[in-house]
Amino acid sequence: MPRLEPKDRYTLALVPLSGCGGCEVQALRALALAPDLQKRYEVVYWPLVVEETRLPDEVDVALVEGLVRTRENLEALREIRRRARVLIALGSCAAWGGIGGNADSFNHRLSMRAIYGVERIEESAEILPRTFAVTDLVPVDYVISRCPPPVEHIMLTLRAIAEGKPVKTADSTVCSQCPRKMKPIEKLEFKPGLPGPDADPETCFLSQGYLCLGSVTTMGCGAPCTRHGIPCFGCGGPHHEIAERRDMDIITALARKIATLAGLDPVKDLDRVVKKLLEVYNPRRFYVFTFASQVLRGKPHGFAVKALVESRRDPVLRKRLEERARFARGEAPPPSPGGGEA
Amino acid sequence: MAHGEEKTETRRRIKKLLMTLIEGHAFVVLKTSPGGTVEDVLYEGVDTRMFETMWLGMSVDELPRVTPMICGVCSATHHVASVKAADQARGAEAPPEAWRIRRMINMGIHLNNQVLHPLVFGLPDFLPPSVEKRSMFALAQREPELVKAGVALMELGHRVVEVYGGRDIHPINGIPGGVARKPPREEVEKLRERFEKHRGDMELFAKKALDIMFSGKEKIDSYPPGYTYMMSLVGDDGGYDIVNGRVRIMDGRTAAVEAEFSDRGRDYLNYLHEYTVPYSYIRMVTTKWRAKNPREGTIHVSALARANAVKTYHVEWADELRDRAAEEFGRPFRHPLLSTVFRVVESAALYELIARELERPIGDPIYSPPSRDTGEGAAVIEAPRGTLIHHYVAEEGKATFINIITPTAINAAAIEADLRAYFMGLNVAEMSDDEVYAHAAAVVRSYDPCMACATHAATRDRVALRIVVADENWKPLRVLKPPRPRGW
Amino acid sequence: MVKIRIIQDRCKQCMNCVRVCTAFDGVYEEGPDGYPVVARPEECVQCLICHAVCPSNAIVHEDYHETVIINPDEKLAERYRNYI
Ligand code: SF4
Ligand code: SF4
Ligand code: SF4
Ligand code: SF4
Ligand code: SF4
Repeated sequence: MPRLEPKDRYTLALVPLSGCGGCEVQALRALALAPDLQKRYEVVYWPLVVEETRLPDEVDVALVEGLVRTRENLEALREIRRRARVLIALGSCAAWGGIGGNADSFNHRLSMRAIYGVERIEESAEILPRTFAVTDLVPVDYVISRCPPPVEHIMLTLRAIAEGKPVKTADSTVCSQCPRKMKPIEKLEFKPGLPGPDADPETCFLSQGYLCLGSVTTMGCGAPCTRHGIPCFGCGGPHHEIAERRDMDIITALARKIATLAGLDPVKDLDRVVKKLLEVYNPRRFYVFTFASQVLRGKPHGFAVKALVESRRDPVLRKRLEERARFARGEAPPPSPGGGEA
Repeated sequence: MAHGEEKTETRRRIKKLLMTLIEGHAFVVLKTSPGGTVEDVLYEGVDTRMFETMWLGMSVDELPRVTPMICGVCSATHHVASVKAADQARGAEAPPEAWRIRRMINMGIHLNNQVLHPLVFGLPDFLPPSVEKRSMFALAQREPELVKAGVALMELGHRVVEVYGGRDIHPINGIPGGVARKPPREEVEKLRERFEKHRGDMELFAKKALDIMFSGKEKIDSYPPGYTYMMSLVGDDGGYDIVNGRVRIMDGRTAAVEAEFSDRGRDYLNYLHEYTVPYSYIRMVTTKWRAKNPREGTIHVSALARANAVKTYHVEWADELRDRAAEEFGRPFRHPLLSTVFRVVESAALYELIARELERPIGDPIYSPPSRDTGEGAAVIEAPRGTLIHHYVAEEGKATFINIITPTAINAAAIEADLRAYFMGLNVAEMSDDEVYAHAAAVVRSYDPCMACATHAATRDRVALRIVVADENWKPLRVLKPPRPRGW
Repeated sequence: MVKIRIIQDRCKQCMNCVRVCTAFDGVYEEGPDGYPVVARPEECVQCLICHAVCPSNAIVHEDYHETVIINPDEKLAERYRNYI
């Protein structure tokens, strides 16, 4: 564990890469609500809250928000790693690529054309051909996952660092905090959409045939989504065992649990359950927050790369993107449902 | 080196200023003649996350919990806009009680943001320049009560979103056809008590913040408006409504209504025109009838535009505060820096509206199932920073077209216009860097541009100012490193 | 003999572990309170399939790291040592 020499006050920097600012808001709340942290940390660089545009030569603790999307992001990340004693990857974007990683579903040039009508914005930052999670590019000392991370997690981590104590890490899944009761699955069938308010509020979504990623997602959020009648979609990032073991992947780990709940054999019937899942759900659906992550893409038995290749090769989507490009150039109205122009 | 410097004498220059105290990153680019006179001002957003393509081919029902991640500061507004558009795409009519819950989600985040902006970005600007590293934390040392009240109000806003939306940032409760769950009664009750308790904080915050800003009248007056139009959503009764109503485009000088269109469906495409510029990842917006000369159709959206558009806030106290501002500054309200004043006025209105709403229990039904999976829908609502548009096309339940116009994208052209109104013709070679920066920042910040909306990036230089030597076509040739600023 | 522990405040009472155990007689049994009990730990063959199917990581084999052959990828384990 990285240790800082004991001091009264540590310097703190927050470097935003391509994120949404949600993590910054949470970090701001953590500082605003904890006067003791304001005493222990001096904010030296944080474009959102201090009028300081120069990154100092040395910082004790640095938080990085967002994923790496442009060359400037990449250079900023390298710089802050060089200058920070302790580097914290804040949020799913930094830890796993987060929502921004989904942009890799399509060739970035095609996406640029579809959005801007041109392939490059000549006079501004250079877009990298793919997205990267911060943890894949530089060594980090702490990973605070979730989108956005709860305020308490940021407080606890900053406090632990200031006091030189270890932090408690998460080693269970969202299910352990979810109040829903798991029941055996009677018929192995999946429903494609979201449950409405008429779904049973007390029974686990898996038991009701909806897709819930709770059992493969790291704990800590308190399962607010399932409490509100919406299945977990994995914003916390995968459970650490799935990340660390080469033989595990999000889809297969989930399929094993579903198979057993349905009274099937988790090994022999694995392929069958995986196939059934992929018939109903787009494989991208399982990697909403980890699509950019090299950890998941590198799994020998994983599906992340398959998901990537499939969406890039989909002829219908390519056509829709070309249609959108024409709209972006002002040459055509948006495509109407069912193709063609309205 | 010497050779390069010599060249600069005859070349034009570009000054790039990195903006701080806004959400995300942006540059103001000043293009000057060889003598240093400003000839053009550009506003550059760096980087895109491609939200308009990343979800193609995926379920349109999931968009309401994906699009909030466009911006963590006003995520709840994106959530509500997204369900409103997805409703139409899926052929569902959300029942009125569901709309009440959705409206609360949007009002909660508006309350949070309208307090957040003055506190974190707006008021630190009014601190004397002698204070180092002007920030909310510096403000807290001078005005502890104000900051304490403000932080409490911000938390209240987040709590409203959490109770009604399921999560405080990136809410999840809305689904096409309604909402997934009613807020639990005990939570609503707790919230109601907290709103009673903090009423004093609201009064203190509004009073102190407005006093500080009214005393800075000169500062507000010194930045002239440069935009051509204003736009805002107006409720069906002509009053303040940030969720449903009609969209109005008004003349920027007289606030006379120029056009009015529907907040649903493709109608917006008949009035607004988006275009790509070669220097920014923000798609600029202008009015359709100025598409040929986009710079003449710049649109300002914000609390200021709303203050001009709506007849009443439905809250007496807020209307009074607006009248007080009218006495000081005259109507229509036009100066960009006035936006912050109306953020405070709106926060007062929102506080009251939310408190009223908390008194009324939510009835049934809250959901009506969607009737189709192929369709189209677009939604215009008000985000804290102005008008926000989401437009989706779904085929067999999958999204095949997504277009999102954020308030910051609309405002980008207006910011440019205001900056031009201030800087054009000035000789920046005669001004100190700090001075140039301070003036540019005051204008930019007044819009509270949430760059996360369209863009987000970090700076690679440790310097705030980049001077780029360019050729006649503004093509950069060489970057000059300015002398190290004080202290570093 | 391995020591097996069920962390009750994580357990979902789904009985996946009871259903899946590959030991001849089964290591787990459904207890009277609805939680699984470790009835026959001596039977355990340490296949760790129960870990793979437990939705909440509630099962702990105390000497896991000595007995497991499939170790985590050391580099990744190092990266996520402070995964909060
Ligand atoms: S992790 Fe979530 S909240 Fe944080 S920057 Fe990324 S999208 Fe925003
Ligand atoms: S799978 Fe989802 S619904 Fe079921 S217990 Fe886990 S988190 Fe809750
Ligand atoms: S339940 Fe899942 S999606 Fe919801 S906050 Fe927790 S990890 Fe994120
Ligand atoms: S490791 Fe294998 S044998 Fe041992 S308890 Fe688990 S499933 Fe049964
Ligand atoms: S599999 Fe895990 S959660 Fe399910 S009953 Fe066994 S210990 Fe509990």
